[in-house]
Amino acid sequence: MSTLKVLDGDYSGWRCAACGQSLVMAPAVLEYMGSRFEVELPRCPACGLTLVPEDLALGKMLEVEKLLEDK
Amino acid sequence: MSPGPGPGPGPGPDLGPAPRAAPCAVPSWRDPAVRAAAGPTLRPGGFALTERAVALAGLRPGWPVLDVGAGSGASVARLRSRHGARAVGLEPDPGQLGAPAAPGLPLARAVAEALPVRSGSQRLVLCECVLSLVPDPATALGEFARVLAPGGTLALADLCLPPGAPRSKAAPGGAAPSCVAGAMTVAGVTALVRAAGLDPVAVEDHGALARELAARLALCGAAPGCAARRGYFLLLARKPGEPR
Amino acid sequence: MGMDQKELRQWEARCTQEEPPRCQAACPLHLDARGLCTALAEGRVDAAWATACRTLPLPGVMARICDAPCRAACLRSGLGGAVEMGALERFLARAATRTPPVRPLPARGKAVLVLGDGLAGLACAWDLARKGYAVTLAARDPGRALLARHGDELPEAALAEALAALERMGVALRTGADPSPALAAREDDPHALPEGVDAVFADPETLSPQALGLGEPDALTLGTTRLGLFAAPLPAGGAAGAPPSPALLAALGRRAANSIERFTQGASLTAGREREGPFDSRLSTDLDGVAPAPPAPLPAQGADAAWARAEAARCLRCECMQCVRRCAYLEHYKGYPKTYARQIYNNASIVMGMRQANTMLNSCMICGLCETVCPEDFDMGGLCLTARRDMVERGKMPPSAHEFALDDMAQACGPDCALARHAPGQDASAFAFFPGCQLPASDPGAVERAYALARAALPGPTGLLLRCCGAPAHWAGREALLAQTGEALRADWLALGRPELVVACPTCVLTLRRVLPEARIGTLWAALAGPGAPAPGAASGEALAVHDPCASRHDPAQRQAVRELLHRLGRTTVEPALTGEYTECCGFGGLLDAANPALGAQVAARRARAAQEDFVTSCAMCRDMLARAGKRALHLLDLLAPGEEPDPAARPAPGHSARRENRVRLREGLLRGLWAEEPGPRPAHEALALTIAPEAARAMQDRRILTTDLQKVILHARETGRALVDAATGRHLASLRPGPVTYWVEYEPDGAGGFLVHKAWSHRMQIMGGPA
Repeated sequence: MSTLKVLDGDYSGWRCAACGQSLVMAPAVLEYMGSRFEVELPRCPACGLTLVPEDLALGKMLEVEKLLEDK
Repeated sequence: MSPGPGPGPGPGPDLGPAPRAAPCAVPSWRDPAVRAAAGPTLRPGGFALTERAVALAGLRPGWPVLDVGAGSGASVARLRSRHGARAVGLEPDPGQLGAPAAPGLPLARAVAEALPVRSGSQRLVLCECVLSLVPDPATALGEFARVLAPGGTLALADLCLPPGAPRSKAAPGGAAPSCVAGAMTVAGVTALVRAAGLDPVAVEDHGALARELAARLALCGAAPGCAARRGYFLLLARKPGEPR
Repeated sequence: MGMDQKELRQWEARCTQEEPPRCQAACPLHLDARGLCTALAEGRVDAAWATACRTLPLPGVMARICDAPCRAACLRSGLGGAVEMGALERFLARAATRTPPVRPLPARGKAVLVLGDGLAGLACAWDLARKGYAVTLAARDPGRALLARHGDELPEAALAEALAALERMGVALRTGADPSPALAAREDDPHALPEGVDAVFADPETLSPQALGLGEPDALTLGTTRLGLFAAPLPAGGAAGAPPSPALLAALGRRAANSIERFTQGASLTAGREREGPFDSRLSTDLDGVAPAPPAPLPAQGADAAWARAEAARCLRCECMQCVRRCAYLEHYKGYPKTYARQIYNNASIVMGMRQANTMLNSCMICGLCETVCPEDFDMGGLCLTARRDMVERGKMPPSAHEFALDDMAQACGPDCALARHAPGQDASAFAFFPGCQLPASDPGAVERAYALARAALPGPTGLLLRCCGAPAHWAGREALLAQTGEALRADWLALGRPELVVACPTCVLTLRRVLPEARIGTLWAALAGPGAPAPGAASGEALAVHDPCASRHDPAQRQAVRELLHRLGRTTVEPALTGEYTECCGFGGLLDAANPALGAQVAARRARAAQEDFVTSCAMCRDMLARAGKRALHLLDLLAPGEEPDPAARPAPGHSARRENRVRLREGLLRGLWAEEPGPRPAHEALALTIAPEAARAMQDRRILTTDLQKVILHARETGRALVDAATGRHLASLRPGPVTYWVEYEPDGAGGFLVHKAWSHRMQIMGGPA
């Protein structure tokens, strides 16, 4: 399945503390209760450290968690 | 170039919805983000469920197969190219037919309640995520039964209501038909199938597929719409009699 | 599957809310008088009339002559007099501007002959025509007897209109001659019906059973020995010479029509007819607090719209809803136990679709109030608990529902918090003080003082047992975990030499009696209020409202001991409206606060409004829930063993982090203070000094994020260097997933070796393949 675009904001202001690189959008897999979703998240191009912003965690991700819990 | 639609988004041909006319009011299938979430078939489970259905039906090359509510023919193309079936698609929305999923697909314009197909001519009738949009499902099922050959199989997949739920009222003011409003309980669908003279032989729960579609829509910021609060089922029914 | 169809029916049968009101059950035609009065009281005359027309045969006639047997069953009778249904029906027949047209069902292809001059025959013809039968009504002069009997109420035009309506419904009227010869025995077959007729009803006023010479018809079916011929004796009237009841006559016709339908369809003539005639409704209705109201005075010129509205408003709209009225949870989901039972059954048996009732069944406080007020003992808590156990067993319980509460329980039972000791200097325990896990979390100082009090008051060496009783596992439906918790508890209790447990938490008392049935279990309150306790003090202080914890609902001795102690302390007490065995839950019971915090807060707020005075209670969790709702509330120990706090009723409820910390500190303090032992070292992350911005602290409380969670994240980031830095602000952002939840912290060093926390959030979804 295709990679889902879940974020609009600009996260390039965040830098990886270890690698010193700015974050770039990259595919990541989110998993919950056996379902997997490929999404785009800000990530350190060197070490792969990935950011889940607050509004994503408490918005779309929380909604999906509840959806999957009730199935 | 393979006529079968590959996975993934991208420009490609207009892989419109299987259902008739402008389908669900929410989410908008025209929204590119939604299309990315829902994949080429725009229905829960995508081709995986179609594969499950044809496996259960024992589809063989050369079988005459009818796909009712074929949209732009994504499934028809796959049934022909992948399974060697003599598959034909019927679709009421001329907009869908104008941009077929592959060139030269046998697609024709027709509503499910009046199939321009000879009685007893089909080994398999496929109707995925469509019946809940058909204004008169009982008549449509009667048509499916009519065109099936003895021993032929109907494969029906659709959204459904939880057991005991009343069928929702029709959209007010003649709004676009919605698969949410038309969904029935599985017991209700099964009763209609029986009333049409077909014997249900398998019912499977694929609610998880509907939820995953809803989750994908939610991640894209679209309302989870039809899939969120509905189940999804696959039902196979056989027309009595021995296959010729 | 948790519940099968049969069990569902048993649950449903206990809730009488869907039973018809007594008036409707008593009406031989089952007119919905309650619905009619509801519409009429709102001035909706045509809607009220439509309600009557749905049920009554020949409504324009029937409503004008109805003898209203419902009045004898009306619960208003004892409160001013039964609602004047007959007069209301007559008003509607006159005042309605629109009569809904009758739309007969599609033709059945069956012909019925009704010999009917009287009301029974007319009603039978009406009902059969509605059902799609081809009816021929043969009579000399149909309805003439009705005009003779009810002339002052029934204008000739109303009868003519009813007959015209019958014809519009397709009934063929054959009038003017005696119809009885039609039933003469046929020469070819004396038992056969007339040619071309599938069934016959003989109205008793036209052709009595005696005249038919076929013996008594069957009372239930009105069938005779001539198959297809139905007949009836006249219903027994009241006083001799009194006209027969029109309602009963019409009901005879309806019974005949029902039998004819079954007969011609080949369906059982007898099955499921118990409630066809008048019956007794099981609907329970609480008349407490209903003020008497006499019938509305009839205006001199007769019934008018204002009178009808006033009279209809006297209808009590009988319903049960006794549990729903008293329970914020049942009220919240806008149904009643019978509907909830169905929803829970569907939720469990669901093969298709979402489990839409998950949150509903996880929101019940399992407090027992509904069962106590229900005349049929419907126990919503038992129903929900069964469903929860079933979900747990099948792996369908949403992980987020109870996880935080069960983690809390694990902490209270874990090595940082649990303790089992003989009293200092003792090597045996006749008693063991058991404060539970929420009192240590809420007010650790109170536990220390209460333990001192217990050691002084009890007639034997008194050890201490700190751990959780297992109630959260019970409420969460986790039977295996409850058993496991019970085993650990038993081991501690055996190690102390089987002491009598002296408990300071009402929920622990309930749970301990369940998991440790062999132990002697009493309350601290009974121990302190028992013989040898100090004499009552002089009355002092403001009056206090007693909040009985729901766990003490069925423990009058416990509730009495609490009041006795308050009396000895010299406090005057008042009782909220719902108290004692009818007390309300604080919103924590059944893990409501964990599974549905918003509703938990609503329930607590409702209880907080139940009294003007400060509350006093013997449950630490109740106290904290009330305090969180902004209510001044005392724990009984604030009075029995006061601490330094100048105004304990105003003490805020500690947050989630503080509660866990309090438990740890209590154990450490006790070990050092009473047993002169040095507790083991704390984990390294707890040494990180965090200052949490107020907004972040609020978010953490809502999101169930603990300070220790953040300490772990930051320590991990310090040790591994894995963090993000904001180029603009210099703030750090790090995450860690120590269990099923990923925690994120945005923070900066405070320059003094500690950290200032700006934001904290969490999610349960896991990032796979990424080292986040």
